[in-house]
Amino acid sequence: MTDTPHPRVGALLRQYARELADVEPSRDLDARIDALVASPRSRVEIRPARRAAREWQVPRWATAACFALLAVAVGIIIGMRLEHRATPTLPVADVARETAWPPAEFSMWPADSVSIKVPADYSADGRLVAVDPGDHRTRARYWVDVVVSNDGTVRIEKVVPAGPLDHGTTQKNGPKKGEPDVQIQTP
Amino acid sequence: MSRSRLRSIAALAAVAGALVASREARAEDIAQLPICAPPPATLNADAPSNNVRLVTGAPYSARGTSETIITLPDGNRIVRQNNVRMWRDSDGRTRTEFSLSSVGGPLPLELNTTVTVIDDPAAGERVMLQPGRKAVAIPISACRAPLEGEPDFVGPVRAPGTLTVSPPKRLGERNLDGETVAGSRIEATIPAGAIGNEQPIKMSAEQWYGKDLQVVVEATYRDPRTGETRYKLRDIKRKEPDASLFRVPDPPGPHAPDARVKP
Repeated sequence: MTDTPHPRVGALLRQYARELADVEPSRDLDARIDALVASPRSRVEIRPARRAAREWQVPRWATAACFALLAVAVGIIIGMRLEHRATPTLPVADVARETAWPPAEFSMWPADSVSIKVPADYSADGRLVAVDPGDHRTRARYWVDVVVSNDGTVRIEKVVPAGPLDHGTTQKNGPKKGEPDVQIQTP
Repeated sequence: MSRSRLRSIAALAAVAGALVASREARAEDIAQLPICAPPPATLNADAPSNNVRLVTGAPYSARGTSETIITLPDGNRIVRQNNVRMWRDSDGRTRTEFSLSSVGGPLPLELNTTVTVIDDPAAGERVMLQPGRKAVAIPISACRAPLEGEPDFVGPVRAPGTLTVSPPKRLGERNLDGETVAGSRIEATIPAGAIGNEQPIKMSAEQWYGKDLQVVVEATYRDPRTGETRYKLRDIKRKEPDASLFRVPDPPGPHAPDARVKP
């Protein structure tokens, strides 16, 4: 390091010294400094307000996630409704009913019959299974009309798709758990 | 013979006479009832017959078992059983408890439920009870079974067009567990090709009817597609059942509304 600066640097330093000497301090600088020193509370009060405002600002990713969740939920609801509307009718063709044995018109000897309606769903293995209305995982897709007689015959008369209000008809006096909600019909 | 004994004999004779008279009166009442409509010819009949058979003076209780056996080509068997308990009092009220596990056929139904039905044809009411459920009542009207000699006594089986059904063949009478039963049998055929079958499918139904009980005591139904069903009435007791059996535990709700009963 040398004691004397470079001539150009020396010239710049001298110019800066002159300009610094020309600068006059602002007239109200002292007053502003005094005011800031005298009122530290105002600054303290401002900070929590700013923080509170920040807390209410929801991050964009959270907003996007909410919208995505809402879209998925709406999709599920629409899907469920469409699925229900498209409940397939069972292939209980006339030919199956007409060839059932003994036939519905069977009356060799007098017998007494009871006609009941059973809520049921169609299982994957091709059977109808009576549903338990107390179990919310199951629902009645069909009403099955069953005629039971005291001559040993039990036969299915009719299978009709259940209405939208017929799902799991649990009511105040609903049947005990595991029992389908059987309804009686006129004989 | 002492005077007191004569009096008691006279009293007994009077009671017996009254009983006979009331029974005859009941029989006359029943004779005036309409004949029970045969099973509906069309399944979609808009106006279902509301008739329930009234049989008086023949109380009994019995237990019926209906067993369906399907034998698979490899010799394996599927056995399904439904049970029924029946009571009838002298006035013609009946209580029937159906324990249903499954219904066979082209579209089987798994049920596993118990349904109790109390009929009072004279009072015009049928009540259904189900475990844990309020009793449901529906209106009915009494009718009588056709008598021997009347048309439809051993009814012609009205089968749909696809089936060819033979006229009922009388099998005579025999004694079955102390009951005199009369039998009849019908045979039916599904013609070849009707349901894709290469050969005709032959089916049969045989029933033995208790002449005093006025119920089917034994029956066999054969169908190669759905197996053989054997029905048998056991533990037949010809005595007046307990009156409490015909009492409805809770008063049933108003007719129809929550029961999906057609008016």
